[in-house]
Amino acid sequence: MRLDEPVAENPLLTVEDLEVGFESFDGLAEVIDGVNLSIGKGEVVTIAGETGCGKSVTMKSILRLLNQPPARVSGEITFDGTELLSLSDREFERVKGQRMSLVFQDPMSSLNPTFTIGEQLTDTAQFGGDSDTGVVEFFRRRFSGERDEARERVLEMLREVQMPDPENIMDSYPTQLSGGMRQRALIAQALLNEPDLLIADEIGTALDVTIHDQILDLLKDLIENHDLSVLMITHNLGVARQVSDRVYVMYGGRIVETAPTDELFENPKHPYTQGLIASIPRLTGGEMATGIDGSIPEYLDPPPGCRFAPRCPYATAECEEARPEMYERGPQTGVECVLYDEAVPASERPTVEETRSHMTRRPSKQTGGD
Amino acid sequence: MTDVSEPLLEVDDLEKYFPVKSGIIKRTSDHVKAVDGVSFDIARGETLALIGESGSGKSTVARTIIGLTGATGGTVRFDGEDITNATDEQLARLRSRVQMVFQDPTSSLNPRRTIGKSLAVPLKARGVATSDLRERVVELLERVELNDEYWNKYPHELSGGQKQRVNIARALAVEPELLLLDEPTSALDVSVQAKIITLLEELQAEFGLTYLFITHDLSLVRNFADETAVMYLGEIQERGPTEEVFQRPRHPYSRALLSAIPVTTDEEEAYKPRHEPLRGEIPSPRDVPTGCRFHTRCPYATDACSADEPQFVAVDAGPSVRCHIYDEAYADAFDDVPEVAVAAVADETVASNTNEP
Repeated sequence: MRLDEPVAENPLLTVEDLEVGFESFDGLAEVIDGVNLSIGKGEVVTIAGETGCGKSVTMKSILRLLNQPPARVSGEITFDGTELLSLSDREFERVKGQRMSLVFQDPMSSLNPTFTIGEQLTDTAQFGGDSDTGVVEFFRRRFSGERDEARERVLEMLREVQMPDPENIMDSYPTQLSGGMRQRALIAQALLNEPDLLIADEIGTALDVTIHDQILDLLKDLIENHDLSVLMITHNLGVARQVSDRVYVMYGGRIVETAPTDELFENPKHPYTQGLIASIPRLTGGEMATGIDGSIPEYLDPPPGCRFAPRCPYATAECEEARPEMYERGPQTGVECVLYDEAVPASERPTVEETRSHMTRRPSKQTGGD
Repeated sequence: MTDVSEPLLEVDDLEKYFPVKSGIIKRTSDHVKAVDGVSFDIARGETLALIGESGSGKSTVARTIIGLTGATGGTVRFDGEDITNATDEQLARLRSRVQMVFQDPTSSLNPRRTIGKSLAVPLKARGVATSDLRERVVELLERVELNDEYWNKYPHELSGGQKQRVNIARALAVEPELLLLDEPTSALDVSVQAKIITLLEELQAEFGLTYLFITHDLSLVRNFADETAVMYLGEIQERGPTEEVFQRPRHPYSRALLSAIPVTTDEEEAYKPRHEPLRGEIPSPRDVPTGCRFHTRCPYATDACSADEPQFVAVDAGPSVRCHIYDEAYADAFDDVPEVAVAAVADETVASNTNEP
């Protein structure tokens, strides 16, 4: 039996035993394999992991953005007491439109190039979560004083996201804006209908460092002012550390470690997390690990046991046979690694430094995997 | 540090202006000053890191050096020879000594050629006999830690990191002396990035390569480069030994860049300069601000900054900085920001870090 995922108190969103597979000509790719996660009210939670680990698929299955088929989604997703997967499309649309918002990674392709920022944002303000408004109602809202009120609200929101010169921006097209401004417009759009849950997919990663920094600062302020619960998705552990309260580390479609942010960075437990942290070049210099050998698992034929086992320097036969349990290690802290079984003495658990030294010299040449 | 007296690459006052044409007869109405007076040199076997945000002109510098775009001013000397706007005949010779690795590993490989064929092209150009080609390609692949199975694979079968290894192998095929690395790892994950950097370090040690390493990621540079130059809007704002630039970033822009990096340890957090988010965004290189180019975003800017262009001067015999704060003539203007003049990093932090292995 697997232990329960350490659950946040009073969760707004819980995901239980989420499994997502994709049908393909070569068979079923089991991409997400039993993901449990939860987001408390007012909590900022990050899913961190490298490309291809299933972060975005997890997010998309929460928001029902995956086409079924080819995707096959099973599990339980509960949002504030409502089971989402059993809702009809129309009911779900309403919950999503009014209570959840998503900010996509690419600020270039998320805005419609043929409408001005003002038009797009005002539409969101007026019709968010209301895609089935009848024609009469549409015209009533569209051509009445309500439109002007909504415009005012948009302007207000643009000011709040510190958009320079918001009056002019309202009448500009997305192509006339810089990347940073587009990102701000998207954040404003996401917050217009006062959502409870904000999902941010790699926010700002497409931007320059100094602009990225500005956006993260802005996001932190907004989270505080609007009392948002946030699910962040990022491949940059530094960003996770800067913004979030709790981190889930994903590898190969499973959550391998979860802990409050401080605990995760001070005391990373899973060999994958350790390897990842050791691979990040440090500002203070010092030796950098040479990276983790091998590559992420093939989802069509994943390793039967721990999915990290083929790349893990500590893997044993046991790891290759069965999926490890999620061992609880303190409040809201869990590791899916056999080394954290009660039976294993603490001295045998690796530290980051050990993992770093394991990964600093390559065991053999011609590994060929990146 | 071999033969410092004779740098392998000398770039002096390099300028690249792109004309902006407008009107029916396409008259040149304006210029985009992508690179505006950039000077540096790299000694044999050393690495210079060129850092900057998008639009700062760092890639244009590399493209101008290798002759992909012509320079509009200044000179580039490679091993003593003037190669600014090189002739075809010069370029043909040059290409076997200077090679470039591009940022996007996917678009720099021909999707319809197998890896073997892609790697054979530079070898053929060097006059390697067809019968030896396969053997030489396999040698190259092995050098970048790929086995001979890759000979028959197409780029789409490879991961990003593997493709970048192939690109590096292709650049090495002609046995160059200088490699221009244009953000070679920015499209890759951290664990793969670490491997590529290690590979590059090993290759440098083995073949005595000289690198011009272009990146926007400061933390990568720390271990890798001997010298670091920070670019902003076509100009180098600060240049000096990497250690010095990291321990005492003098230019406000260098400091802002360092403080903007999301880090993963408390130690690094303490090491970063005081957090000062920059105002606004990088201005268009078509409409460069007067005076100091950075003054529109600088937290310490004064009237003098928008009026007079600062000179590129050496500070305390260390790095050179383009900022009025370090100019005696303007000392009065910055009296109210005393903390600027000293290193933002506490001395203990510097000391403890230099003691580390």
